[in-house]
Parts: sequence; structure tokens; C-alpha cells
Amino acid sequence: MKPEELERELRSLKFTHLTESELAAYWDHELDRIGRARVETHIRQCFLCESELELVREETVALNNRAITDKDAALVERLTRQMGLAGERAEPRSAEIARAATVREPATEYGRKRIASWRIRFRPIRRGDQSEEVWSWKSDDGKLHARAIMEQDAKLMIQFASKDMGLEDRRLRFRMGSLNQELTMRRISKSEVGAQIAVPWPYSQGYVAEISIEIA
Amino acid sequence: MTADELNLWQRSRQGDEAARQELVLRYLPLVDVLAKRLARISGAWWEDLRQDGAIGLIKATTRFDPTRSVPFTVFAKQYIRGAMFDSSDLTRDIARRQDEIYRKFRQAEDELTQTLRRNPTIEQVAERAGLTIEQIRNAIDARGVAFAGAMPDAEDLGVQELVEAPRPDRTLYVLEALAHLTAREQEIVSLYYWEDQPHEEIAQSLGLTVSNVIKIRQRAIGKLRKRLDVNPKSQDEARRT
Repeated sequence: MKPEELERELRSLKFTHLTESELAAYWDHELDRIGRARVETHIRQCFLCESELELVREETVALNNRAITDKDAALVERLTRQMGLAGERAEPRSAEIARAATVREPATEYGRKRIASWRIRFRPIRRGDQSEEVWSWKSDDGKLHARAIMEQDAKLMIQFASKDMGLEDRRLRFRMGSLNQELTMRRISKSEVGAQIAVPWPYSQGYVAEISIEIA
Repeated sequence: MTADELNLWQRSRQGDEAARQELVLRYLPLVDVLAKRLARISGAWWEDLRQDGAIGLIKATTRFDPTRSVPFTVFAKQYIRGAMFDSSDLTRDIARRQDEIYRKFRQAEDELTQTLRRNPTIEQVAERAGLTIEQIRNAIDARGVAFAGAMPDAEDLGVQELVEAPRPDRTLYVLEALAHLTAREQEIVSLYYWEDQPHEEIAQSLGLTVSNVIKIRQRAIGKLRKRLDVNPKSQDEARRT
């Protein structure tokens, strides 16, 4: 391939529409650096892919915030039976799923009461800027604190801390967009427990992150 | 895909019904989103659409192969939409109408991209296609309608390739070759060719000299050419153009 042909091909890549797989991979932080750069360049100038990315975002948020209910399990079971897919062992097993879902609901109640749709809207961050706290939160009972620090290398550091030693070794389920990570609260001093997580920087300016925390 | 989910897929493919039902439950919120989106456009009851969509989701779990490269959400959406659009005469009409609008504005968009040598704005596309912006937005929301009623029933091994339009070979090879450049080369290629930044601006933002930026860009082009030229398919492709 001649250099000028290759250069033309490279320039045209920014006009090439993104596939749903690419959009999903971008949202799931699965693209490499050059893949992310291409997605970000393209969506800035293409209303179609920008809209489709928003649809993928909506779907990802719904999948990450799922709460399985008995009603859902019953619907799936009924349809499976109607479609003739359920084997002899399906009934007791799906009943187990329904029971597990029932148990999980109260366990997440503590966190759910406190998630009242947090959102972080990111400001433009430039290389070399100082680390900066971009978000902070305190639980209703004041026992658990969380904050997000934008590091100089554009990584987002989420830190949790509590003076309640009863939270030592308790697990936190932290969700931000499609990131879904379990953390364990560890003793960090005689009177404090904490946990932290580093989130890579896949977010464009003005990006709004949905955040939720559950305590297992 | 997490190890836990991969394990569920493996069990499901071996006939473990509980594993498959758990996968269906995990992805049920996707049906909710699509059903609500379609209900907004069609005026149909979203609960009815949800039930039809759930049938599509169950079908998708019986046919998905996790070793293929397409994510399950992308694969399942085709089945979910297909099942929802097949659910009543009302939605089938809506599907047909949205499909027409989608094709019409995509054609206008393609033509404008060729003429303008950049992606057009939604206003330009609307004017060219004789549609309103709302019509275009609704058609995007209902995207994939072309698949309604066209899903293969048999366990077709090629079905996962059907869910997305194929890319020209050459584009795929260039994208693949770009992944083999160093981080610095990738950065300069993306700033120069995609952000249209001149060498001087790139040099300033990266703290390099202009001649260094030019050298790195030329080196990157050399690497890409070498990589593409050893690939016989890309040579064929290049010869054809």
C-alpha cells in the first residue's frame, strides 16, 4: 500500500461508523488506547454513533443495577415451560434462584437506602493538573465516607473510610457505569477501616457516572 | 465476561437448565430497557412487549456461543427486538415504518459524508432526507428493526456474524495494525490523522520537538505499511483500489 493510500485510509477511519460491539467494548473499558481514541474522535462528530453510545449506556446501567425479584424468576420460569425448554430438574432449581433473590434483597437494603442516584459530572482535566477531589459522600448514619480523587495521571481513585470497626472485613459492592467491583474494608489504623479502588480513565469531558454502593 | 458468567454459559451449554435461567434473569433488565424504548415509540403496553422480549432473550441464551467474539448483549438484542416486533400487527407496522425512516436517513447520511468529507450534522441529514429530527431520533431508538422477522430459526453457526454489518477487509487490517504501534506512535497517529492537529501543536502538547513528532509519525506509517504489506489479503485489497 502506498503511503498516501494508507494516510487516506487512516483519515477516513474517523468517519467510519462504530459497531455495537465496539460501542459496548468502549463502555466496558475493553478497548485499547488507539481504539478508545478512535471512538472518542468519531462520536464527537457523529450524531448517530453518539446516540447509539447513549443507548448502550442506558442498557449497561440497567444491567448493572439489576434487582432480580420473585416475579421475574416466575416469569422466566413460566415462559421457559411454555417454550418447552424446562427439563425435569428445572422447577426446583429455578425456585432456588427465586429464593436466592429474596434473600439478596434485604441484604442490599442498607446500600440501596443510600444510593439515591449519585452522579459525577466530570470536568475537563488536563495532564499535569493537581490531584483533586471530584466527589464525596457520607452515609445517612455518618459511619461510612467515600470520595473520588482525580489523580495527576487521570486515574480516578475511589476511597472508602469508616471509624466503625464493625465494618472491618465487610464487603462493599461498588458500581460505576459498567465497572462492578467488590472491595473488602480493611483496618488502616487503630480506629479506622478503609478500602480503595483505582478506576482507569475512559471518560470524556462532561461524562456523567452513575454510582451505587451495596454492603454485603 | 467474568469467570462466573463464563462458567454459567458452559453449564448452560451442557444442558444445565438452572444455569440458563440464571443467565436469562441476569439479562432481563436489557429486555426492560428495549421494551420501554419501543413502547415510547409505538404506544404499545411495555409489559406486553417485555413478555415477548423475554421469549426472545430465552431463545438467544439457547443459541449463543460464548467463544465467539460478539458480546451477548449485542447478540441477544437482535432476538429480543425480533420477538417484540413480531408481537402484534401494531408493532409490526411500526417496525416497517421505522425501518424505512432508518434506511432513508442512513442513505442521506452516507451521501453527505461523501460530499462533505466529514460526518454531517443531524440537521443536515434531516434536511437532505426530508425528515424531522424527531423522526430520525425515534428511528435510531428503534434501530435493528431490519432484523424483525428475519432471525434464523435453526442453530446456525453463522448467526453471530450476521448481527453486525461486515467491515471492509482493509479497514479491519488497518485497525488491527494500529494496535501494534507503540503508545507514543498511536498517540501521534490519532492526534495527527483524527484530531487534525499540526505537528507543531502535537509537539507542544507532548513536550517533543517538531522533528521528533515528524519522525515518530513517519516511523508509525512505515510500520503500518510493513504490517499491511505482509498481509496478502490487504495487498489484494490495495491492488483492487
